[in-house]
Amino acid sequence: MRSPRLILAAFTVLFVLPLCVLAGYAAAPGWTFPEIIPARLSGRAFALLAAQGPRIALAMGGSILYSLAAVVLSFLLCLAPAKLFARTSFRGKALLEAALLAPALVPSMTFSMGAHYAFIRLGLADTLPGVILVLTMFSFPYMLRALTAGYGAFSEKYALCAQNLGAGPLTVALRVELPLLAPAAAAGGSVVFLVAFSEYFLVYLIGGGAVPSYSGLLFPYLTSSDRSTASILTLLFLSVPILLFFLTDALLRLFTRGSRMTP
Amino acid sequence: MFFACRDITKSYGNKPVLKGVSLTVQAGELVSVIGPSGAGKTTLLNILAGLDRPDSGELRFAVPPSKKRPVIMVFQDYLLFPSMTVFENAAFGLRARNMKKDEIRRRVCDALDYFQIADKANAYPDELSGGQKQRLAIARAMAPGPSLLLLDEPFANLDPNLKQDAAAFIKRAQREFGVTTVAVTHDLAEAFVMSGRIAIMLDGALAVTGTPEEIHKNPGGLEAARFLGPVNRIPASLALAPGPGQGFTSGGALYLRPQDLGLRKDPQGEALVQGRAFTGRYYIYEVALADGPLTVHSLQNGIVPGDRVRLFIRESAPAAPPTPIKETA
Repeated sequence: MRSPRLILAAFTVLFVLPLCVLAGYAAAPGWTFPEIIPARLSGRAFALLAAQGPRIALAMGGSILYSLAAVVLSFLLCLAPAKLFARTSFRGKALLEAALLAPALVPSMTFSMGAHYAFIRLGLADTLPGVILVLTMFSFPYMLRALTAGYGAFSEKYALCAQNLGAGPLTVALRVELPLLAPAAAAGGSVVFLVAFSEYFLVYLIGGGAVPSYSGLLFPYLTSSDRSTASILTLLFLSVPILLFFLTDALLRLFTRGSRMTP
Repeated sequence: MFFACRDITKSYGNKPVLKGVSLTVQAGELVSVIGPSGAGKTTLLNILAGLDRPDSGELRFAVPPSKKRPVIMVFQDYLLFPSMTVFENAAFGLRARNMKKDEIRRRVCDALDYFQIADKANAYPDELSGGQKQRLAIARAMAPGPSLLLLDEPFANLDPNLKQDAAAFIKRAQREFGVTTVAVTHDLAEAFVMSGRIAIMLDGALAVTGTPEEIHKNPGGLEAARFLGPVNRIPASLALAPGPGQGFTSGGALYLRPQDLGLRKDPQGEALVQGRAFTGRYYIYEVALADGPLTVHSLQNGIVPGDRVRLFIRESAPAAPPTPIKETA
């Protein structure tokens, strides 16, 4: 009994209390220590939110769009190498795996310097495809790791079995392997989405301000003295991953129909 | 002849797995290839299924397999698709052939009915029992009407009490559908129950082929005989004279099944019992003879360590053909 209570207490302290503080700031810009309860409430931040609705929606829409696109692109890019890493053994495999995972280990600023130069030359700077591409390049290692683990979690004999029953490669991939891979894809996709959605620097550098992004909208508020608006925008920012979690769970249930994998 | 393979060899790396396997199967037969783990049974099955290619040798079908006359394999773990219902699993091979919906429904319903899982049509594989999973895997394989059905260790994932029933069911289904079937298994009793013919595979080669009765009476070699069950090796110095058709002789030694050999308490007996273990079906006695220790598998009870015993051949022992066998082990 003690352990679940301890976990609940830790969860409350680490996650719920900071949210309460954010909500407090949103409703009471002047709330400061040592006040326990805000002395004065203000609806100014909410009014600002309502007034800037279209701008916020555009930024949010842009972020969701390029994050989802990065998820889809990284998924498609990682399918073949993940299968290769999970199913085969070859000389230099560890080295190649390390090289492909490297972008996740390199700081985004280091990563972006070379990428920016190349993107300018390719005409991808200040464009949405450029932002999608750079976010995919930066975040695909998370998808690669997840899909490699996903392929490793089920036997390649499922594909052989389907093939033996007369299925072509497309049917094998879509009807047999994809549902088996769905949990791993969801895990990898969630991380890629969150990395892409919260990325500020790469989007700012490659998008050049021409690509609307929520992190770009939020960042000036975070550095300003307008704690109230920053808090409410942060809460809105937080709602996206939470919604994503429930959406992914629902999709996963629908896609795999709640069934468990047999060994 | 339905298919014949001649001198099939297969190696993985430097390790030879199949060393010149030849087997001919007639249409409508159910042949079981039995042998210990690692003998090469599944490799042979993969080659028959077209999932692997032999390094050398020839595999010839009287009518080559095609999408209409496929060779379908039921894998050891069944490999039921977890995101599909029982119905969808059974329909998979038919959908892959772009059959009409009505035809798919009719054939799947017939198959599920026959395999006694029609009431589970909307269930998912993880909601089925081991026996139901096996029947679904066979139903899925049978639905497209295979010309050759391959069963890879069909009893490996079943509880011991279900294995005999499953073997009888497979035999009945195979006869009713008339589909030529090759099974590989190391479950001897089940293979004997369901098979018309048995081939024993040892170390990448077929040691002997014949009906279950033929194989039991004449396993063709000591190693194969030992694979089929415990064999007592009686040294020549004991001079036990087998009755007509009892046991096998080799190199002066006599080989007898546990049911053929008895131990009788005798204070003047030539052997001293040093240990005893019950296997569930027979006893294993460790006895000491003048020229060394001997392990005796026997049905005899009531003898305990410390007893002096005399070895004898049971009069009631079933007659076996007096075929001398080569000592290979």
